[in-house]
Amino acid sequence: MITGNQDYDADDELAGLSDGLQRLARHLDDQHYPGLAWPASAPRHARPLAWWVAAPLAAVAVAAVIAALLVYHGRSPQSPTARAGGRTETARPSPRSPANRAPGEKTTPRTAIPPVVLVEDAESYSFIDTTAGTPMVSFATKDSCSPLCVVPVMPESVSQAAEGEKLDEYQEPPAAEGRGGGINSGP
Amino acid sequence: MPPDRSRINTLMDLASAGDEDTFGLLALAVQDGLFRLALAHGLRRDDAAEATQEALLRAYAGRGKWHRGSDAMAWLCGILVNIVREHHRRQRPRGTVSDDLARGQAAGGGPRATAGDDDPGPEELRQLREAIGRLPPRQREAIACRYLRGMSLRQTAEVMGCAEGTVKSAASSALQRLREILQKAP
Repeated sequence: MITGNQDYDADDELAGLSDGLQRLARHLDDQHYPGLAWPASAPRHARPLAWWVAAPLAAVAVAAVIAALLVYHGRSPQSPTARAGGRTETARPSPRSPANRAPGEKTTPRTAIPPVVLVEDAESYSFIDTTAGTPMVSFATKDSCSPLCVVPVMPESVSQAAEGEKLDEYQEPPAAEGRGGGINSGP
Repeated sequence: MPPDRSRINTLMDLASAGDEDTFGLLALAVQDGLFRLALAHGLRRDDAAEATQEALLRAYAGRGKWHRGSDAMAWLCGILVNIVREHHRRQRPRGTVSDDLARGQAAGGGPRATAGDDDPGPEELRQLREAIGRLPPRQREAIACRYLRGMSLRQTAEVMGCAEGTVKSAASSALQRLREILQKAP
């Protein structure tokens, strides 16, 4: 405060008043403001500048961590059993995956096998029908064009056919059975 | 211990730059001085406290108008003196502490009966305050700033918003008038 009271005795105009004014000035000096004149001197609610700087940075950092966790778990999903067993199931690339392919290696597109295949040899036709669950092979001689035998292709027969045994031993069933059943046989 | 003027100026520099916390510190540093200046101008304690708060509010609102390098305490005291003038104009029917003291004395109840918690001090101080209260506003301000708060001539002129010669003239007239009032007092 601007105190340091005047030198009252040095001023002739103060004659007779200097003592009273000095005592009144000292009396005023003893007075104090009753309380706090400014609310800012109480606990303040305003946030400091550092808070406004640190808060966005922290928010960005938390968002980055969350995004990183989401990306990480999105790339390597774990089955419930694997998580329960504590094992980590990693995706293993197949040997034919592009990752394991030689740099110059060309990929050949797969050709779909038609459901019915006609195989012609010198004396007969062979129909391989794969529409059903089990492949069926029908044989017909070229002169009759009637299916003489329909043989399901079993694993054993396939292996035998591969050896050329079963087909070579094929003989026409006897006509005496009279079962007909040919596609051209009438009633 | 009165606050250092350079510290007040530094706090005012920071507060005028927008630091609200610094203004709180400034208010703590100057509130007693403003309160005593309001008392010296004849206000009662509760009115002096209100005037002090109002002065700080106005200083906060107008802190951008404060010129760096000037005397911050004088600027704050100038705001308070303007509030005291408004108070005297607005509260003239209600009067000041000297009017209260005069009314209490006339009623025989003693000065403290109407002055509330205001402590006028000894009898001679009460008479002196009453005499100061009877002065015209300019003369009262000159006495309060110059002799009761110990401001220099330049500071008083800055607070009152007038020239130093005007302060000298007002103070001289005030002292002469005080002497006359006190000589007439019983």
